[in-house]
Amino acid sequence: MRILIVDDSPMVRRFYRASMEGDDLVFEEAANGLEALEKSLRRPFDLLLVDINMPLMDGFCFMREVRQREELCHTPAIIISTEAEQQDVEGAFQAGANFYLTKPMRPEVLRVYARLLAKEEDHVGQ
Amino acid sequence: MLDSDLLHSSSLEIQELLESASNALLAVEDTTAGEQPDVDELFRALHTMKGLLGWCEAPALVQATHAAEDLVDACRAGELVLTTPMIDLIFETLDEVSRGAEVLLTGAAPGEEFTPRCADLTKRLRAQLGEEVPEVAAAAAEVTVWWFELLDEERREAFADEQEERGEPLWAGRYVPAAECFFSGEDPVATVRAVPGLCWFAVSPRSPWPDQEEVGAFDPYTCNLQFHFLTWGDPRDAWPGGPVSAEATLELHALTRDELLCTSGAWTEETVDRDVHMRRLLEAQLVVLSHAESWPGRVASVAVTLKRILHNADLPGRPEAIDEAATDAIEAGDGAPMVAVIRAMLNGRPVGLDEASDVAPDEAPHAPPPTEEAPSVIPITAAPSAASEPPQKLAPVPSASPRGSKAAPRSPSGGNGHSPVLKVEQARIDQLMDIVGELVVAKNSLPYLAERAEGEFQSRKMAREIKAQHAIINRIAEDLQNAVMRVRMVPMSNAFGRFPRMVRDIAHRLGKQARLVMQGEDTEADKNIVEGITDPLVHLIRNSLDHGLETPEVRLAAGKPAEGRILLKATHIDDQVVLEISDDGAGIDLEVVARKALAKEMITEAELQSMSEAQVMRLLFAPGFSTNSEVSELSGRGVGMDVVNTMVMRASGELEVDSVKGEGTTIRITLPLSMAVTQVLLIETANETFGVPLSVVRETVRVPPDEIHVIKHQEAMILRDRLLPLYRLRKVLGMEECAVEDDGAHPNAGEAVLVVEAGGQTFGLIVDRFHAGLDLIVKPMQGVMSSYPLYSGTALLGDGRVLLVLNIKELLHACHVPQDRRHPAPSRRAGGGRGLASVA
Amino acid sequence: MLQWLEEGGRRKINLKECERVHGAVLQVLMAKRPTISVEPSDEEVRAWLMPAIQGAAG
Repeated sequence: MRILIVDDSPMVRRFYRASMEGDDLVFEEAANGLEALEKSLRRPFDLLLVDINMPLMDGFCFMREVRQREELCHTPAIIISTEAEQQDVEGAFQAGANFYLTKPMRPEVLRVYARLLAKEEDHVGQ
Repeated sequence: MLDSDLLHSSSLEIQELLESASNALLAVEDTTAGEQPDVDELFRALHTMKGLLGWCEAPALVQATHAAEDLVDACRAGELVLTTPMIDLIFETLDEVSRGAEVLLTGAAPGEEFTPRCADLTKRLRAQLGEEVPEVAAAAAEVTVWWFELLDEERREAFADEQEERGEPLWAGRYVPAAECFFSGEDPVATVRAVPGLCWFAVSPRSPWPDQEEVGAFDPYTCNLQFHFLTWGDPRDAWPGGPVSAEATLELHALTRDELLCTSGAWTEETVDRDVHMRRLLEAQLVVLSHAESWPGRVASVAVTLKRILHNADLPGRPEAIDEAATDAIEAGDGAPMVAVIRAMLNGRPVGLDEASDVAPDEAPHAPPPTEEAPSVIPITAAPSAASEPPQKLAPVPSASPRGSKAAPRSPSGGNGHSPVLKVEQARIDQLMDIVGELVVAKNSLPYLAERAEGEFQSRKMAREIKAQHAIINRIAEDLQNAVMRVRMVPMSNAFGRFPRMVRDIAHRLGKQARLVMQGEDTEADKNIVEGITDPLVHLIRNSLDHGLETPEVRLAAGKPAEGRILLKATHIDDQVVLEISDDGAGIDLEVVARKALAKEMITEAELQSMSEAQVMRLLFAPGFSTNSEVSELSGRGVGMDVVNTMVMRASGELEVDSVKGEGTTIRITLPLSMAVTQVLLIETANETFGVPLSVVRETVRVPPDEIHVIKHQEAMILRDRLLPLYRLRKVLGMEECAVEDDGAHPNAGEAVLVVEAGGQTFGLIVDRFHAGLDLIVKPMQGVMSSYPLYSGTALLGDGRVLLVLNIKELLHACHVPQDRRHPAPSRRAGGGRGLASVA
Repeated sequence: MLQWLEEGGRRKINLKECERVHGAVLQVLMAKRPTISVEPSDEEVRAWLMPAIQGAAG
């Protein structure tokens, strides 16, 4: 399964990778929504982990773009942000995210979600 | 939570952020009075910093950074102007974070020593915002009291009220007894129960229990328990049984009212119980469906999410039912069918078998326990029927309802004259394929062995016997390979399925009339190929609709029927699948293409003169080319034909265009039936061996030097009355300087010419020597190598060497591009050394 | 007791009279999750013991 990690912090991206290490996953990274969109259009991903606050194109805008494009719209996406305000959560769902997680979260938690959302043919973890 | 390595790298990143924040802050200070300073950079740096500090478990620093971020955010929103005292405060905050980063650099988390200063900073920053200065508790609010979730809301409210009445703090604690505590005679349960003022506690394992089935994996003498508790009064003063031992952990935190009511929102989640998260995920889908924006995409994403959960959590039901519900929901513009599915999943009922369930809920293997309570989030549209009913236990009923009968047959003994169908996981077939691949490679080592037997050991008889054995193994391997490949075959209809709907929707949006005719949907190809070709097909069909088909008015004026026709056809030709997408639209105007290419300086006038029509057509696929001057609503996707071409090539296919102006365009994609095994011809150039896919090789000839002519600086030869352009592989690969090895075996045989055909053109490649043809598993290029289009992949040879396989089409392309504009061929060094590298 | 539980396949435990549990015994119950035929009659004990054994707390 191919996962796109969209976050402007390389450290955070690395943390996500480390959290899900060991499961048979392929990661790609993007530092902002625009880069993420370009990468997705080149070859769609199976799961998107998206930060909100990023330069050039923020996570909400990226999610909207994804949900409007026929070739990408079905991709499950989780918005992961430091903000825990109700309006951020609401905004994430409105933009079309399938889930909202608040940073920081335990690596195990992220892994549970990645496993629940693993592509059917993959056999990730148990 | 993070290992020290990660803390270390966080620290480096924080230091970078500190630098950019300082610079941004200095710039703000320099801004002339009255002008609006640009604080975006500063804000982002602080924001990211806060996030990183959160990972590093530095709550005090998070607090201070957060306050600074809020201050800058207020400035960004135009609510206030950053004054010098404010800027000083932010600098002070950055200094504090910098000290924290130094601690992190050592691989440790910044400890409590930061708390007082940060609390003070936070207070002063908040004061600048004119905010009610939160009590000391605010600094501690980010302390993780996640486990509060274990208590229900009512309990928490009761505690909060009681706290107010009592006027003394409620302490939240976590006690982890020493692993050896049983030996020292401590009973941790008794210890905790004896804590004075104890009002609630819970026991949980510190690390997950070992597998139930595994006898002996569990060590009953090592304590794996941890306790979370709530107590009135600081229990450290009166910890039962004396002071806490050094090996044990006791964490305490005085709870504020906010925390008690869980409104601080700062707790992280701890539980990793999959069912809990699964329920949250399912409930979230109800929220997703409560918004209407981008409805089809929204529903599609929920459908994929649900199908994956259904599969991964082993819930009962048919995934197809989710697709059906999604189609209904998209068509009706109403989420009810999906909501019903989600409810069924939440309640452990089988999906899509509501009426005539043949799996009673409590028989379902891993279904989560049915719950009475409604999900915490209520969507706008609730399905009145299935949703609110309690889970029903139904006796197995002969499936009579139409929904039930659609279910996949559960018993393989259905016996309608069909041979029984066996469902196999793809992973198993892939594994089988890999093994076959290894067998094919291993088999290839036999000819080498035969050669050695003859050369090194002078045993011609032995060599013959090995060759005979090789022939037999070869045949078996081939049969095996074919058999496995047949298992992986799926019909093209898997890719075609969503196209009719798509054509309808897009045509509608564009105000065009279009009909999609599909032929040969049952043509089969390898699963990966079918999957890989779906996306390029989507783009090509969109392209036909967008640029090819005219509006009804234009069509009628041109004497065509108002409704345009797009034909999607799949056929087998030899061992290849040919896909054709043809439309009866306006066709491609080569003049326009040429003009555009000139305007974009992709080619020169002189080059244009010498180009054939097919070559001009090829420009369509050149990067940066797009025939439509303005980006239309659909093409605004940022995907041009060049990307489509790359995608097709990635699926090992080839793309050709044929178009008659005014009559329409046909795009032909040729794909291998399977990507698994490629027949490769080995050639040698500049002392290195390369592979060329046999599918592009027409023939191999030896040409005496005097039969090679030079026409307009281009070497060429006459082959059967046709002029064949010649290219020297050494030159194309940039390896001219390599000394020509004396070709002792054929002193006067002439140049070795490989006649190849690619992209509709035939040409000759002059190489140093030909070798044998082999069956190889060609793997796509990875890593840095993937940016060199001249190579299509690598393959492992029988003797363990790695072979680079040439991409002939790209090679031809490289030949055509004028020397000065050509991308440099990969430097042999940068390109991973020699063409053939020995594998240890 | 661990041995008894590991041998017995589906052994049941009656906790009716249970008023206090030693930590070592508790963790055997938590790890092996045997069927509890009767819950503790002491309400307070039941309140913390049963969730722990049923493994709701992860």
